[in-house]
Amino acid sequence: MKRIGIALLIALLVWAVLGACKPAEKKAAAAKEETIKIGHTVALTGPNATWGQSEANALKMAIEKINAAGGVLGKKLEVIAYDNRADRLEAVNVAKRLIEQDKVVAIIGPAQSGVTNAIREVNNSAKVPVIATTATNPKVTVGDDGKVVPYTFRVCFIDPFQGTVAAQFALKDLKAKTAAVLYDVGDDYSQFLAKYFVEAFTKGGGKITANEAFRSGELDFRAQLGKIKTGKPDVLFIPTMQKEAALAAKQARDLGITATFMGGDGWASPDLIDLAGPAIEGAYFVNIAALEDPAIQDFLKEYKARYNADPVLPNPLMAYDAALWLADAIKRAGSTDGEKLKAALENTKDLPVLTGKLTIDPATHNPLNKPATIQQVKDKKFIYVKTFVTTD
Amino acid sequence: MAYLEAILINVAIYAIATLGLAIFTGYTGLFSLGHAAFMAVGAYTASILTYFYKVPFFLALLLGVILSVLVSFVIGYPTLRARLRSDYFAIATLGFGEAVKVILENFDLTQGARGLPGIQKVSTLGNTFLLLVLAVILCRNFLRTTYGRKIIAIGQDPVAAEMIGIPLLQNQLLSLGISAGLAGLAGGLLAHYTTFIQPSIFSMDLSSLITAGVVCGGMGSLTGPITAVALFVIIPELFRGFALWRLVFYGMLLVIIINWRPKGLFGYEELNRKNLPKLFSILGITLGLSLFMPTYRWVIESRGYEIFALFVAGMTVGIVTVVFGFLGKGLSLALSPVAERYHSFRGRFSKGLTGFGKVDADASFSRALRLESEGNDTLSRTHVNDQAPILEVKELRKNFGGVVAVDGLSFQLREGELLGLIGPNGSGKTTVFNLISSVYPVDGGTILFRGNDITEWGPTEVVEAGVARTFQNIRLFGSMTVLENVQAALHREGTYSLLEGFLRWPNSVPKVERRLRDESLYLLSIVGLEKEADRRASTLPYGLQRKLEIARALALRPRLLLLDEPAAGMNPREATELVELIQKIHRDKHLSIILIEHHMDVVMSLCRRILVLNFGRLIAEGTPEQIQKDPLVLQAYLGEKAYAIVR
Amino acid sequence: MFIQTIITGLSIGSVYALMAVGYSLVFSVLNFSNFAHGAIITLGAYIAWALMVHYLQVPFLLALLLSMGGAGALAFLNERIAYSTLRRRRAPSLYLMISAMGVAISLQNILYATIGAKLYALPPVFAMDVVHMGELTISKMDIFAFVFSAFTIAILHLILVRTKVGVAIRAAAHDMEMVSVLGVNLDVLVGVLFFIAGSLGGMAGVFMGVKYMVYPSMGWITNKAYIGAVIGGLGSLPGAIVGGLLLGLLEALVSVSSIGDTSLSTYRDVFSFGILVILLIFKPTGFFGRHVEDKL
Repeated sequence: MKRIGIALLIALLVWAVLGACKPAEKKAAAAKEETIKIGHTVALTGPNATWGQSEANALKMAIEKINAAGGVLGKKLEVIAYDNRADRLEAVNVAKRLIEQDKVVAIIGPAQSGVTNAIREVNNSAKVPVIATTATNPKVTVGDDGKVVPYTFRVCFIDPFQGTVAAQFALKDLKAKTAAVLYDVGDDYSQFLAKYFVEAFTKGGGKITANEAFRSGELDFRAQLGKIKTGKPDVLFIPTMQKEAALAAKQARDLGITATFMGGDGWASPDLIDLAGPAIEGAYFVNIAALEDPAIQDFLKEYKARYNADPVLPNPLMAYDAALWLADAIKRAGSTDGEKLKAALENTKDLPVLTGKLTIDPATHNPLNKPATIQQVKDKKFIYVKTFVTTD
Repeated sequence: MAYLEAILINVAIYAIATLGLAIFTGYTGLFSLGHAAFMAVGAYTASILTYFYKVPFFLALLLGVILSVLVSFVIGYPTLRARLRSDYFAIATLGFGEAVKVILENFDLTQGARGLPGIQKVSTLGNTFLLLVLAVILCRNFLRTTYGRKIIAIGQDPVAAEMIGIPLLQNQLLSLGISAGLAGLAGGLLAHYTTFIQPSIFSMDLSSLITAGVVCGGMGSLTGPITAVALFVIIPELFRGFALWRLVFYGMLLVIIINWRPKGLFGYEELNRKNLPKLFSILGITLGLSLFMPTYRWVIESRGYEIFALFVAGMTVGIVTVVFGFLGKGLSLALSPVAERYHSFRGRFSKGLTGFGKVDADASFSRALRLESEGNDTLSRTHVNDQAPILEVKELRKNFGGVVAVDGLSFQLREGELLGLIGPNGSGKTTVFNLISSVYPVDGGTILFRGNDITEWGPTEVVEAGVARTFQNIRLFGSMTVLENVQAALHREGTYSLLEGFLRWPNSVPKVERRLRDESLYLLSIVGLEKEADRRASTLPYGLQRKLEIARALALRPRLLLLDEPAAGMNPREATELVELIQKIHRDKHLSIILIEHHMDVVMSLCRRILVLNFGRLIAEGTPEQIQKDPLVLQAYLGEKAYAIVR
Repeated sequence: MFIQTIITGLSIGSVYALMAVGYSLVFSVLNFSNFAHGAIITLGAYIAWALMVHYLQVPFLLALLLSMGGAGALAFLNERIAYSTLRRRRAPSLYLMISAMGVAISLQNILYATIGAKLYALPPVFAMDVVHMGELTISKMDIFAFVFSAFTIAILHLILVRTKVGVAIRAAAHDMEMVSVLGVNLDVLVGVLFFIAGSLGGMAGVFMGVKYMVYPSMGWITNKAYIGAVIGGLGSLPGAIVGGLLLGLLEALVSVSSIGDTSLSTYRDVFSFGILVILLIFKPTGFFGRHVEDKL
């Protein structure tokens, strides 16, 4: 009886695993020719899958384009993508597997700052560069000691910049005098963006009437919003993902808060409009790129033709740029050696990429002069408002 | 190969945390939904120390462990003291887990939600596994001491444990402390392996992973949970990309195992020679599964038929599993002579070690004990009637809601007396026992035991004063052996310290343990159970279980023994044997005994004096002859009408 | 603002209370924490989403009733699959808790693995969602949810007091064995019990879906409901309601207070947990909980 029980259990497990495996590995028989392998660590499942899947698609497109143009150093590029669920511990294992087992020369990857921090040491000790796509926290590439993290790069702008853009846009374009902030204390992205917004807004002469927070997973912010309402702010800055933004917007309007809502690139999911409905109309948010940006129209057309859907910005653009950047760096380095590749990545200057020209600051591994896009929700659509460059 | 190393380090770290929970949930029987919080405390303490204050790694780890233990006391003391039922306790730990995360998210020192990046990477395969092995050895040692037996007894039956004088609070706290300490250790190692930590890591998912390990590995086993959690870490690694289904499987496994294989992987047992085939089968499956993908891919590449590939891959898994299963069986067989020799050698060795130069002293110890108790009792032997009463109950009352269970009961028990307590069902007899042994608080009246007012004393204090009892519906520690049941009751005689227990200090622990063993065997021999010593208590036949309860009660060296229906469910022959046994212990041990019994022959042949209760009141008192004639008693037993007819 | 905060607290608290009722109902008879209740609530919300948004455009009230039925059926199945064996074996409540936890983990992750993590909104029930009373605003959905919940709980109360099944359930809460000896089919009784508890959970899920949104981990919020139920006393229906409302009020009040410059909203869960522990020290079985004594 015992044995039968165990056998059944095992059978179940095997069956389950088999069932799970079948669809994905169909095209396992890859070409045999030698390739340069690039790792992709991305959230294909879990709450961040919306962006992750779009990112994976775009990266595939970029690599195919590079290969069609003859590849790099006479070899073709090959992407090996693993799901990290945007989970920090998972990501460490993914990074180790990519480096140790698949022998990738570089990793394009984590879209989240926390996840990128998590794999930092793995990359450093293996001397394999990682290019984060949308990890906007400044500490991702510069450690607490003020030194640059040797093997971590990014293609996107950083939170202080994003927070500053939001604050300056509120002050200059919206002529706001007062602002309130509602952020997620359990989320590093949200916590930091709130902090930078508050700093920049106060510096620019504005007044913060309330700085309230809630915890990840909570759904009702009316208590905090009730407190915010008493300060009658011109702008309510909600630096969160689309879920909390939608809930906060709805509940704020219900309570009769008339402030203009503002957010960061976490809002940039089409869900936002479905979830928040009319409450979110007229809100502004900072994004890395917008669909209407003239520079990316060709890419959009191609993506839509291929996947029959609009890409979920900004991750696909960032992954695309990262691929172009990496290919260029490998060419200039003339090798896939980690140290040489790192040096080549650092010394990138005016490289034409999808979203403009890429120049990297070797002292911070951040792109220089990266403009931000301001978008507005209007008539249930994200509208391109302007490209914003900060003034100090 | 660093990737494999990474997985193995993960295994070792989670295994340490699971080991802790195995003690707390598996052995002590308390359910925690917040153990990840203890990992968080250990992780943050250790990392802050190494990161900001450059404290050496192992010192930082140790401080992390200590703080986890302290935190566990802070949360455990109020909740365990309040005697929360398991569900209330589980919810409290759930709240605790969230609260710790909130604090970590808000503190500047812990850098909020961003967490601490850039921690040194110091955890290696070597030191994590070393610590794991160390932890297993310490836990194993611990469980084989009096301290461990107390905890296991509580896990088996908290009420019975308390009734043999094991205080719940401090032992549950000890168990919580051990598990929190191990969780803290695991946390510290995890932090220094992943090199960053954030509050969100220590979520309920993590807590449920280690709980799943304990349940699937078997509650009441150390190596089972470790094996289970190792599988939970390794198997999903083999199928990266389907990690999402992993949690679905955990959940299903939990349901399946708890419903149909509640004993877990090795069935309450530790990994031993007999279990080797199982372990090898598991290894075989794991290895087979890891070969599944490459085989599948290889076949696809050379042939292309999907179904064929699946078939071949499946076959590979099967063959590898079977081969490993046979390997395990073979190894187990091959080891069996070695194991026997090892056991006999060890037995001789330890005997030689502890007995060296002291054989006589040790052997004579239990004899001395016996003599001592006999010596004591000679004092009271002859004075049954005119000595001051050993127990004096005055105006005792107890209400349950509106029902008066005991209503102003007063009686005395003289030293060395064997008093019978009878009455119809529901007349409050067991309640009297429960009041004397302090299971329930008394609503009115006083209880004097040897001149002390024990009315307000706690159950364990009453036991320590010298009152032992058995139960109407048997309450043994079912999954312990017969011997261990008695050893558990000898807990006051484990004279070594907790630290010695953990280290199994060769100078004290084995000696004391041997003494306890001898003593237990002697007590078992009194009730005629010495041959069943290594049998699991729950497998004993009913009559023998009752005898075991008596032996366990005797282990407490009582002055007063409360026997609650010891002959219930026995046939006449067994009952006669029981009468002889009770007479023997009464005579040899010179105990005072109160006996509740429905078998009138038993009561009448044993007791000189009998009390009769009805509706919580004393309705008659006297010799068996007097009682048998008392009209009130007959009325109470037969009902008024029947009594009229009889008359 | 104070009154507005109270209104908010009651609105949040009523969600907790509604969840806690189903959870407490199961506890009252089977004496274990059904941690799968959160997953049933989530599935209830998904049923409503499938009916109202994804496949059909079923009107709200019909969808609500169907979701209640569906969630009830799921809870019934859940009991049959995961608890009945243990119940018949009279396994300790720890085992049932673990089984429930397994079901909760499985169901939630099946949602992740199949439907995915995407967030969905249920269509609003009322076009203009708030009523203004001077400075105060009250959500119409809150009023509706409040009235409907009160109505349902009143019906539940009637069932428990007036019908045979109800009397059997109440009797079973006191002594399950006795009830079974008296000839009540325990399987049917427990089945009905889980159906009722599941329906209440489904209702809570739909209300949550309308007020907030639908996503796989929305069952997380039931952790709060469990805490509410413990505050009120496990196994007691009035306890569940009072405990849930109290917790909601407490959270809302803590959210708007501050010590010096630090706003307490981020420390809110520490407060609810602290209150819970302090309460349990003085009242180990909550406000209305029964004290169960072991029979020796």
